[in-house]
Amino acid sequence: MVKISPTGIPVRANRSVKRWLSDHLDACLDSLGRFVLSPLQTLITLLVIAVALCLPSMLYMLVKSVESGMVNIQQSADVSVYFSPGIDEETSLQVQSKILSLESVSAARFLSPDRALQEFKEFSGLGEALTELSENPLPATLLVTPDVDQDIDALIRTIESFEAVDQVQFDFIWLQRLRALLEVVDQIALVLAALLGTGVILILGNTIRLEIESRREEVAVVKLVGGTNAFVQRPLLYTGVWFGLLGALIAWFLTNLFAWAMSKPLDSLGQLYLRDLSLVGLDSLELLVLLVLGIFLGWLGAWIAAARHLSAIEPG
Amino acid sequence: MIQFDSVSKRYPGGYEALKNVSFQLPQGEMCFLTGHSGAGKSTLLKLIMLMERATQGQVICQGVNLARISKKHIPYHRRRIGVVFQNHSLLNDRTVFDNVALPLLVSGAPYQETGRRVRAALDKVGLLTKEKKLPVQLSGGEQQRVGIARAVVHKPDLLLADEPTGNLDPELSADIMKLFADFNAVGVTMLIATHDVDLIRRMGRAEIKLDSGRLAVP
Repeated sequence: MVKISPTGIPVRANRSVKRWLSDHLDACLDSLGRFVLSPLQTLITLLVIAVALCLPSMLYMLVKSVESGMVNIQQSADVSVYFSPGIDEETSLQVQSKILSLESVSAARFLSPDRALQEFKEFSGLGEALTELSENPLPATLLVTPDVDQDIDALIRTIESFEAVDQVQFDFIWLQRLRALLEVVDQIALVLAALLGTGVILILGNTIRLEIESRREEVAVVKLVGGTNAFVQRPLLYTGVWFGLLGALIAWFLTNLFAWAMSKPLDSLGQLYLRDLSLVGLDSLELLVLLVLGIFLGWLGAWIAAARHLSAIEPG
Repeated sequence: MIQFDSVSKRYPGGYEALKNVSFQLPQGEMCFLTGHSGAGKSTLLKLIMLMERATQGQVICQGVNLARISKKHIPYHRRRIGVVFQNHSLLNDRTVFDNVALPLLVSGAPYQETGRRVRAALDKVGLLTKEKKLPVQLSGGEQQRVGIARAVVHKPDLLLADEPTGNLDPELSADIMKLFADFNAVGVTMLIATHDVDLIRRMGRAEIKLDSGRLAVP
């Protein structure tokens, strides 16, 4: 079967799927093989692409790691609710059940004044000195554990409105500030990714343009013997895809290298704060996203360059 | 096979390379296109290859009005024509075999057929033993024959040649012309631009003569 154009010229022989695949495989391997012809130039271009992809992915990893660390911290961050002096245990327990019925609360533990004093003795290291006190200065206390990701400020305001409650304390306001800060960093990572992604497209566009320039004569000859734009363009698009894919792989390697290099100093920092601090490297799904992104950017850069410069080359 | 009706070609900048040229080249004919350099021979061939388009008049090739062929379909038009240049236009980083196979490669011909046809074409021009060589390892005459093998490998009905013997000595030129005559004998229509007057006289073939872009009586 041959398609006939309106002018009566046969325009495309029916190519089998097998042949189509093998043509693409040829172009794919051919463009990879060309990397060997100018190894240094190829390496430099790959590194530029890798660095461009690696900066946003490192930032992303940083945000992700701090966020997961924050969840751990917040899980241990209770809101302390102090009752007014002289409130009896029954009233306290009523307040406890009210607080427990709030949606944003996952647990509320009651500490009687005696129990609170006992715990204070144990953890403060002032044990013996405290036995000298004539009466227990501690009020009855509720330790309220909020659900993760809840609006703590609103919760605190609600609890403060209960009559028997004297004071509500939450020592982790800084957590919320950090969270807000992380959102800013997240945005910066996005903007940076968009800018550097554009950079990758431009770098590849230029690389492909130079490649087209150096193959000018070849392109003209191929067009003269009836090669279509698609035929000439195919190996160039694969060149872009290879650059994107290999660049993304190097970026992945660099990002995880960064995570590994940071693990020791972060560990010491974490020990100072009794917290588990670590950078979580990119998992396989994130690696996949990075590779697909690299391939897409490479292809797009090559496509733009090919569309702009190939049709300008005509034999003669 | 080829028909020019009052064709003119004016290049951007105003230079008029062809002025009101009309002629017919019947199928199976072997014809020389002559004239001093700058007379418009190359332009005429470029119009047939759709490397340029006529500014006036009609060019009809193999029954198709070339003005109706869109840019997208130009490659398919070129696949039906073989073309030989003075400067060979070979790819120097590919072997003789790959150079000759190029027209088959771009049109997606089956691989088994490619090998068979390339060797047949190389055999015809007497270079079967050099298929693995690079063009630069061949002499000028041999390179020209590789170019000819490439022009005929896909069995076109029409073969165009632009000064195919320009850089060759008389003996090699005669060899090349003998080859062309052989292709013509099996039915290929030929249009050969040349200024080698002796050669044309010896061949005794039809002649289209151009003078400053106009058709001249030979």
